[in-house]
Amino acid sequence: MSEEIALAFFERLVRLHERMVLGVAYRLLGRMEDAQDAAQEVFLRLFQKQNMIEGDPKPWLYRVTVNVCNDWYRKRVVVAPPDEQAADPSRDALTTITLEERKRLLRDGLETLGERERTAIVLRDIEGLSTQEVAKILGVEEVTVRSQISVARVKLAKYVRKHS
Amino acid sequence: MTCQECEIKLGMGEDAAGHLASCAECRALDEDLRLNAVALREMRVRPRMHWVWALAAAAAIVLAIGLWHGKPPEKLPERAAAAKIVGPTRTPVAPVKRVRKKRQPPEPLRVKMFTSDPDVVIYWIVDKKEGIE
Repeated sequence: MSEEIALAFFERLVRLHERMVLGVAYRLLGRMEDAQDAAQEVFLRLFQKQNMIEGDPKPWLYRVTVNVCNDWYRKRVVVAPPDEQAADPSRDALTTITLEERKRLLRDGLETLGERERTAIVLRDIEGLSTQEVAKILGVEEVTVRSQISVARVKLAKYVRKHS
Repeated sequence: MTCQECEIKLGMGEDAAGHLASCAECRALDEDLRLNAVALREMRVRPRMHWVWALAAAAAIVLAIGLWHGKPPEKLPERAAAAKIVGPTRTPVAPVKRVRKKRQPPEPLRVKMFTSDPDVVIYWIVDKKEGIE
């Protein structure tokens, strides 16, 4: 493949997938600066390996994004968990919260989940991939993914309830 | 069905209507799960990154220049030895003066990189003669 064709191909791949990669990285890492760094690493890997990827690169990109983000997450300096006292226990559990507020709580809640649960729920519920696709990306059985998602959803629901 | 079993079913998106009818706590959880599903779907809105474009383009240009400079000179095709033509005697022709065009210096290639700050734009100027500035 000539350099020009390779370059054009790479540009097309970046244009097609940049939003997906950055979006997933942002959901997994919770901070845009970290997500941009992670996305940059993903695209550099893509640049180096684009000749080796056959067919649709989307599953490869998801897999690499998840791996890069999880490595990043592990290396990151641990920040203090959300303040437990911030929740007002006097508030009625049934108090309705706005969608924006719920999204903010969910973003915080994602940080409290384990790596596998967070990854599974980001890919399944935010990215909208099927359980089968998530299982393939993570290299686990579908039943494992279903269980991780179920646990993660309940944990998130309890987190939102507690902090709303 | 216990509340724990119900939680698992609700988390998997399965029906637990029997238990929900008699348990307010699980009904509230069910409601939260449904609202969260909507909020999570809404979170799919994706930001755009301009800088990756610039980075990719810059990386590709650097690579292309590197390859171009590192290329060995192309071998000219050998002329057939047997192609010695004996033609009619040539009559001398007055030499035509060739007008040489003055070579224009090549335009430097500019790579524009956007940053997260809209007021800051980085330009990379790639000089084809000298390399990257």
